[in-house]
Amino acid sequence: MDKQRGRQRIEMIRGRWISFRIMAIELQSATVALIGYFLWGMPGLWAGLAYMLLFGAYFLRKLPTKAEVTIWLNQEFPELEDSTGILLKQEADWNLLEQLQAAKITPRLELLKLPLSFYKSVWYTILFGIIGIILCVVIQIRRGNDIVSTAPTFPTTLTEKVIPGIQKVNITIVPPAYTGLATRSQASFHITTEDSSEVRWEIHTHAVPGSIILQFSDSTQLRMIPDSSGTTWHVAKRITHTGFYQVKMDSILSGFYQLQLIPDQPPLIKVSSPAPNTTIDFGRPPLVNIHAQLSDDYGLKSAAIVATIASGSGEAVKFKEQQFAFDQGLPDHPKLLNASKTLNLANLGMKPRDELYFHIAVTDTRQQQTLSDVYIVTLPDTAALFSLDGMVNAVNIKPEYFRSQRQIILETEALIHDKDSLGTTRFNSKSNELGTDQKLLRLRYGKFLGEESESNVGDPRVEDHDHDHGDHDHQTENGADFGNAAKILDEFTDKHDNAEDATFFDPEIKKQLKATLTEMWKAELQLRLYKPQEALPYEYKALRLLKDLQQKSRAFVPKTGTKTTPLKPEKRLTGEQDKISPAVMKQIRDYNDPDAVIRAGIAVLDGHVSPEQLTNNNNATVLRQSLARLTTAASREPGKYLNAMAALQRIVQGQFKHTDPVLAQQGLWKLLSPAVMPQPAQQQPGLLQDYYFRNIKKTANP
Amino acid sequence: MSQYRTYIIAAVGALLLLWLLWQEYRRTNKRFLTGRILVSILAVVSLAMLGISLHSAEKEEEQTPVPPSAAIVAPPRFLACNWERHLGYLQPVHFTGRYHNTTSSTIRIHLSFAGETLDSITIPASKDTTFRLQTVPPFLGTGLLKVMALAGKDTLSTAPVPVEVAPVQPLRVLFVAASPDVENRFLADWLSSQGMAVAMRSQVAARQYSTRFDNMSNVSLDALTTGLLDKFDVVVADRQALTATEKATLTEYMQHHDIGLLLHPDSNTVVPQIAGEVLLKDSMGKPSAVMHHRSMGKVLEWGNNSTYTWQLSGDSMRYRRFWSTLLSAAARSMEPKTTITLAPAFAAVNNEVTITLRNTGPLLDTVVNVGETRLPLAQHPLLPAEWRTTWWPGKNGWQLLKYQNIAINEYIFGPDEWPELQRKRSVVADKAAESSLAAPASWWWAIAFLAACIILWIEKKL
Repeated sequence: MDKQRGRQRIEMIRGRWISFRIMAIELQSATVALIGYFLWGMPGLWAGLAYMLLFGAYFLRKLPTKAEVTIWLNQEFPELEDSTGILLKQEADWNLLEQLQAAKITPRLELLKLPLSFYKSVWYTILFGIIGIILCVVIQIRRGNDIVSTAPTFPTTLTEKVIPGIQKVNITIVPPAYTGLATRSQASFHITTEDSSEVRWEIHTHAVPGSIILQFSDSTQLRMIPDSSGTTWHVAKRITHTGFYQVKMDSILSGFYQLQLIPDQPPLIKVSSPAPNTTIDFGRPPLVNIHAQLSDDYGLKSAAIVATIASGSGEAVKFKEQQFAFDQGLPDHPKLLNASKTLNLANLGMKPRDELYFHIAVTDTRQQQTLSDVYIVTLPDTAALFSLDGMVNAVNIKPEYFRSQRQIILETEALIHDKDSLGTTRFNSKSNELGTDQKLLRLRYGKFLGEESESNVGDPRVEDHDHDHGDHDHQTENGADFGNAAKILDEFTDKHDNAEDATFFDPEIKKQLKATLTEMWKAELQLRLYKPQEALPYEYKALRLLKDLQQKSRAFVPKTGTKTTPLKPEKRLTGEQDKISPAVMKQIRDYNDPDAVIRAGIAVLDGHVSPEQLTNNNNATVLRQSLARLTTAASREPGKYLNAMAALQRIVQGQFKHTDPVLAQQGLWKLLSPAVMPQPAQQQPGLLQDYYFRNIKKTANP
Repeated sequence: MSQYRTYIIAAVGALLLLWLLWQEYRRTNKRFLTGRILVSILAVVSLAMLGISLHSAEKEEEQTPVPPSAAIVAPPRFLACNWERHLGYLQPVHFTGRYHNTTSSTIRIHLSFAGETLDSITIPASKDTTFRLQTVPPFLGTGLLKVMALAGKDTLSTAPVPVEVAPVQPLRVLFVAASPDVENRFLADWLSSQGMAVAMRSQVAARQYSTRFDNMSNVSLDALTTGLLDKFDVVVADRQALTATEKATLTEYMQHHDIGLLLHPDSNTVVPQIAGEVLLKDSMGKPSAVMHHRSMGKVLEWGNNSTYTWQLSGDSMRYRRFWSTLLSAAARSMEPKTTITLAPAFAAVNNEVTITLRNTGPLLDTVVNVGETRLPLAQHPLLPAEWRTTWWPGKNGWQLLKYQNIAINEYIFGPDEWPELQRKRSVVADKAAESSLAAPASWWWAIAFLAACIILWIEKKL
C-alpha cells in the first residue's frame, strides 16, 4: 500500500517535470515566433515552429526516467535518506530493511515540498519571454519611426464605410446579354460592372428605417422600396455611366461607393495577308488568300469580306460589289477567331486590268462594327505593256532593250504555242537560246548598275578576241607597247568603279533596276530548264518593271525665261503715306489659372491641418472649391479620385484621420495639368550691389 | 531610438534589481537583510542614473562639431544644403547639397512631396559628394517638401524643405517688329492669353506702325524712350526694326536696368557663334538659345524663327517651355522695395534669429510684427539700407512676418529638423553654452554606486 503511494508520488513528480518542460519549450517557441513575426512578418512564425520541433523532439527523445527522478530526489532532499530507489523495486524483492525504510520515507515523500529550483525552467522561460517582448517593442518602435518618417502607407484599395443601421447588403449584377456573362451577386457596395448592366440592391437593416435613398453622382436619386417586414429594401437600376453613389438612410449618409463601368471595346481586326497592295502577275494563279485575326472582348457575332471589283477603264469603269463569308463560321460567338478565305479571281469574273478592293467588316455581340483598311488586288493588263503609247512622245533611254524584253516574251509565247509541233530536242534548244537572249539582256542592264559582266558582253577587248580569232597580227601586240604598264593595267582592270557609272542613276531607280535584273535571272533559269511556261510570269514582271523605270526616268525641264525690271531700293517705301492710318488692336483678356485654386488647396492641406486653420474663412473657401473640382473628377474617374474626394470631404467636415490630408493632396495633384509660365526671377533689392555695379568700371580702369 | 534609451536603461535596471534582491533574499546567511536590500537598491538606482545622465551628456556632445579624426566613424549626414525658399509661380526649386556617406553601402537621397518622390540621386559608398535635385512644387503658397536619406529600405534621416510659392506675376512684353509676322503674333497671342501685358509695334510703312495692346492701356510706341522702357520687363525685337537712336537708347538703358532684349534671329544667324550663357540646347547638344549680359541688361539670341510651327503641329507644351525659358531668363527681376530675411539660414526654435530688413526707399515704420510680438528695428551702422532686429521664435513651423503691408512666410525649424546644419550656425554660441554647464551631476551617482558596492563587499567580508 505504502509502496503504491510512494510510486504514485514519484510518478506525479516525473509527470509534473515533463509537463513543465514541455510548457517551457512551447512558451520559448512562442517567444521565438513573436520575435520572428516582428522581424520578418508572417514568415517569421516558422522560426517558432522550427524551434518547437527541434527542442521538443530533443526533449521527447530523452524523457527523464523514474530512476533519474529518484536520483534527483535523493540528491535534493537529505531527509529521504537516499532510499527513494527502493520504491521502484518490486515489492516481493524487498527485504525487511527495505520494507522498513519504505514505510519510513513514503510519508516524507508525500509531505515533500518541491523546491523553487524544480520550476527553474519555467522561471527562465518567463524571463526569456519578457526579454523577447521588450525586443519586439524595440523593433516595433524602430519600425514605427521608419514608417512615420518615410511615406506613410495609404490605402490604395477603397475602404467601405457602411451606415451602422445596415445589417448587410446584397447586390445582384445582371450583365447585359451581349456579354454572355452569368448573373453574379456581391456583399460590398463598390460596384464594377459591364456597360448597361442592371444592378439590383437589396439592403437588410437592423431596425425599420423611414426611407433609404441611393444618391448618385449625377445627382439622381433612387428611392428604395421596403418589403412587408420593413427591414429589407430593394431597388434596381441600369448603369450606363461611371460615377459614384451614396446610401442615405433617413438622414444618415454613408461613405462614397464606386460605380465603375467596364466599357465594351469594338472588335479588332489584324490582317496578316494579303499585303495592302498586291499585284498578281500574268501567269500566276489568280488566287487571293485572306488571313485575319479577329478578336473582341465579349464575342464576335459576324464577319464578312466586302469586295468591290472594278473593271474597265476611263469612263467605262464598272463596279460590282460582293460579300463573302469566311470559311470559319461564328456559331458560338468566339472571342478570338483566326479567319481565312481564298478568293478565286477567275471565278469572280475578273480579267486582266481589273482591280479588286476589299475590306473586312466584323460585328460584335453588341452590334459594334469595325471595318478594316481597304486592300487592293490588281491583275495587270499585259496588253498595255506592249503598247508603245508611252514611248512615242518621250525621251527613251534605251528603247531597243525594251523591245528586246518584249521580243523575248513574244518568242516565248510562240515557243509554247508551237511546243507540240516542234520536237523535244528542238524545243529545248530554242528554250535555251531564249535563255541566252535573256542573259544578254540582263548583262546589258547590269552595266548600268556597274555590275561585273562575266562574259564581258559589249567589251571591245573581248569582242576583238571573238571576231579576230586566229588572227595573229594583233594591233594590240605592238612592240612599242611592250612593257607599257598603263596599257596592261588598262586591259586587266575592271573599270566598274567609274564615277559616271556609279552615279548614273539615283538610288531609287537603281533599286528598281536591280529588281528587274532579278526577274530576268529567274526567267533565264526557267528557260534554261526548258520550262518556258514558268518563265513567262518573270518575263512579264521584268517588262512591267522596265516600263515603270522608263516612266520614272523621264525628266522634264521646262524652259522659262522672263525678265523683270530691276528694283530700285532707294525708291522703296517712299510713297505718300499720310493717308495711311495703321490699325490699332486692343484687347483685354481675362486670365484665370484653373489650377491656381487646386495648388492653393494643396498648400492649405500641407503640414498640419488643424481645426482652427480650417475655420479660417479663406482656407475653407479654397478647400471647398478644390473639393468641387475633385468631385467632378471623381464622377468621371471614380477609381482614381474617389478616395481623395472622400478624404477631402472628411477634412472639410472637420472629422478626419491623419492620413487624409496627404490622400487629398495626392488626388488634387493628379488633377493638375502640366503648365509652364514665364516668370521673373526673385531678387533681393540691393543698394550695395547697385553701387558696386556702377563703380566696377571705375576700379577696373583707374 | 535615442529617446527610448532611458526606458531601456530603466527596464534593464529593474530586472537587475529583481535578480539582485532575489539573490540577497535567498542567501543562507540572513544577516542585515534589510540593509543589504536597501544598499542593493541604491547601487542599481545609481547605476541606472549614471547611465541615463551619460546618455544625455552624449547627446549634448553630438551638438559639437565632430573633429576630422572622428569623422570616419561619424554617421552619414548632410554637410551643407541650400534651396530657394521663395519661388515664382511654376518655377522649379533647386535643392543643392553636400552629403557625406560614411557607410559602406550606397545611400539614396529623395526629394518628395505628399509621399511622392519627385527627384532622387544615389550617393556612392564612403563618398563625400555634392548633388542637385530639382522639382516644380505643385502648390501655391507655403508647403514642405521633404528630403530623405535612404539606405536600402531604412530611413536614415528626414528633413523638411520649406518653400513658399508666390502667385503668378504678369510680365510686360514689348514687341518691336520690322514687319507684321506670324512668329510675333503667336507669341503675343499666347502671352496675352496668359494674362501678360503685351504691346506690339510692327512697321507697315516707312514711318507707320500698326500697334497692338493686350491687357494694358495704350501708350505711344513711335519711339523707344526711357520712360517707355520703364513700363516693360522684356523687349522682343527684330534687328532692323530698331532705329539708330533707339538702339542707342536701349544700350544706354541697359547700363542701369536689367531689362531683357530678345533679338529675333536673321535668316543667316547661327547661334553657336554667339558667345554667352547657354539657355537651351537642341537635340544634337548644340546651343539653341544663348544669353549674354550687357552691363545690367541681358541680350538673348536663338536660332529658330518658326517656333509657331510647334504650336500649329499641336506641340504646344514644347512651344511654351521654349518661350518660358527664354522670357523667364530675360525678364527684369522682381525687385521688391522691401525684403525681410532671417539669419541663420536654419532659423531654429528657441534660438536667436536675426531679422534683416532691406529697404530701398525711406523707412516708414520701424517695427516688424510676428504674430502678437512687436520687434523694433535698429539701423545697421554701416549699411544705411539695412535694418535689423533680434527674435527668439517660440514656435516652430511657418511664421508670418509682417512689416506695414508686406507679409512673408518664414519657416522656423524644430530642434530635430536639420540638426546637423543647425549646429553649424554658431559653434561659438554652442561652446559658450557647453562651458556654462557645470560638471555633470552624473558623478554624484557614480560615487553613490561605488559606495553601495563597497558596503556590499565589506558586508560579505565581515
